[in-house]
Amino acid sequence: MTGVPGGICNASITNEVDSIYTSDNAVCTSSTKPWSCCSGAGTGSCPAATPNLFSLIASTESSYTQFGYTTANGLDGQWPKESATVPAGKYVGLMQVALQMAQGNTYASPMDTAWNWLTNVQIADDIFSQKLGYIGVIEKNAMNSHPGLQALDGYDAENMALLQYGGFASPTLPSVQYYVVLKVSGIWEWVQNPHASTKGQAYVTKVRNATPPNSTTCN
Amino acid sequence: MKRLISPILLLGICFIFSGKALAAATPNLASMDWSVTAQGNLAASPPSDEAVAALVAKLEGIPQNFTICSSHFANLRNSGNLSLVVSTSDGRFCDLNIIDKTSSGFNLSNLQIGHAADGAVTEDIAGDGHFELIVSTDFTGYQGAQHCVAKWPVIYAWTGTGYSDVSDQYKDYYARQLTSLQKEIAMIDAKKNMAEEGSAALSRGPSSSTITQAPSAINEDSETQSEQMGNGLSGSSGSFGAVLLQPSPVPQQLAAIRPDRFQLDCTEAEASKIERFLGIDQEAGMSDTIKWADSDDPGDREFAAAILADIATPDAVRDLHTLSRDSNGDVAIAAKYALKQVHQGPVVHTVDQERSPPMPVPRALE
Repeated sequence: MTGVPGGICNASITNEVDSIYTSDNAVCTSSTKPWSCCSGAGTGSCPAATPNLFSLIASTESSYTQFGYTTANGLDGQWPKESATVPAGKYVGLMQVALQMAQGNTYASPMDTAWNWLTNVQIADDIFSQKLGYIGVIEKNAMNSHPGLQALDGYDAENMALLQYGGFASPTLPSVQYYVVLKVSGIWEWVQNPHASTKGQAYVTKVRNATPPNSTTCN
Repeated sequence: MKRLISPILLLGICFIFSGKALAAATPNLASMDWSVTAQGNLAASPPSDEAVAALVAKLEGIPQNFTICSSHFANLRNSGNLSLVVSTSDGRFCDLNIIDKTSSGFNLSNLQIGHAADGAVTEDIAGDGHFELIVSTDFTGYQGAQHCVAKWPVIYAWTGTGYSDVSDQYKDYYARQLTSLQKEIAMIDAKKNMAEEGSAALSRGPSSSTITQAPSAINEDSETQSEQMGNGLSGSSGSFGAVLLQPSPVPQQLAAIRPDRFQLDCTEAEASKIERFLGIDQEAGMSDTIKWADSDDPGDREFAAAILADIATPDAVRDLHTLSRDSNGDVAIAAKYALKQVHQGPVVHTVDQERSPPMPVPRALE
């Protein structure tokens, strides 16, 4: 299955969407991914805690659609699925990543986030991987300054990155993340941030409870 | 082999030199004069995005893998130094910070910003020589491409030790906003009526209900035209059409010209929130919200949840309990968290502060 710049494709894309995430986020590094599945020196590989995480995100962000039927420029048809926030269309496609505008009025490769669902997912993967890296740094710093604090497990690290992906937490500020470090019965622990926005918590829960289609079409 | 190596070496040297040249061309914002009285100060002569990005990356301890959504310098603290208001994006939403240069280093204040916003506006709202920062935040929940997010402008000001939400002190600003939103609603309603009349005319006969757009006219004012033509989701003016394709010379049916229903929902929700905030009517917007809560569209029901939590009257909370048992999972989740918000009290817009030095850039992220 290759990317389809425009038009409709009728094939299962769920496996491919998820494989982009699982193949790219399995590597542990001691500096950015110290979470618990990365044992020993914190190196090696670590299977993604939620293999179908990107399908869950796509279901929440775009109802798993790269294109939607609408009228644009007098043309009824399948157009890239645009964000509903005003101004509409700032974010596009399956994973609702930022539309990178081409210069001028012609189709150009940066528009691939809109017209090519594979590019859309790959861009989202770059963003999500970067966020997992930030979470790893926050985690490592927290472990260094809180003796006895356990590493996050992969699922919790994903939740932290999800809150950021949803636009509810700054990348590097520890106090606004999904989990914060608190002392519980004399022991430092990761606990759900009591001050995290309820809308952000709802977003993470929605992603976790999403029901991706078994197979879907690109539109 | 030698033939291969030489061009590669040459290329490498070129890269090294061009990299150094670039680095040299980007001024070091950290060491520049941030004072208000500096000749051609940073507010009047803003630095390049590259210089701003370099500073943000250094302070946050992250690699420069982001773009600047917006940035400007403003006299927010009356301390003699300007403050940098900057928002950045890694390909998703913008993250807003205020950076202050003090005698002991840099202070970084992180503010909540709405999903629809690129940055913040600096304004001397009361005309007293003190500048405030107006930040568009989310009032309703984020629903991806399914529904718009209603916005709520929060006014921040420097209060001596940090930036705080001072919205309560600027009711006149919100009254002006309300007037503006009401005009917007009237305009959208007029468009809606026009579209409905158009649809009725269309059903009477196609010859009397079509518009022929001349391509040249569309090119002259593509934004207005694309809005009239109903580009994007539910008729809002999206990114497509005007950018990607030349306008169609084919006559358009009026039925295709439909108002942006979602934008109207959000504008109405924003206006009624201001009415509640100003104490005009504590239940303002309740009838609209009930309509959305009863809608067949789960996106509307989810949208209603956040508004019911904001209204927070016993009737609203009862409706929220009903939504928390909705057959649609997303609606039920949104309503449960909205109920949690009701128990916590009104949303508090806090500012999180961080003082330099930042955390080091990990090798894996470089």
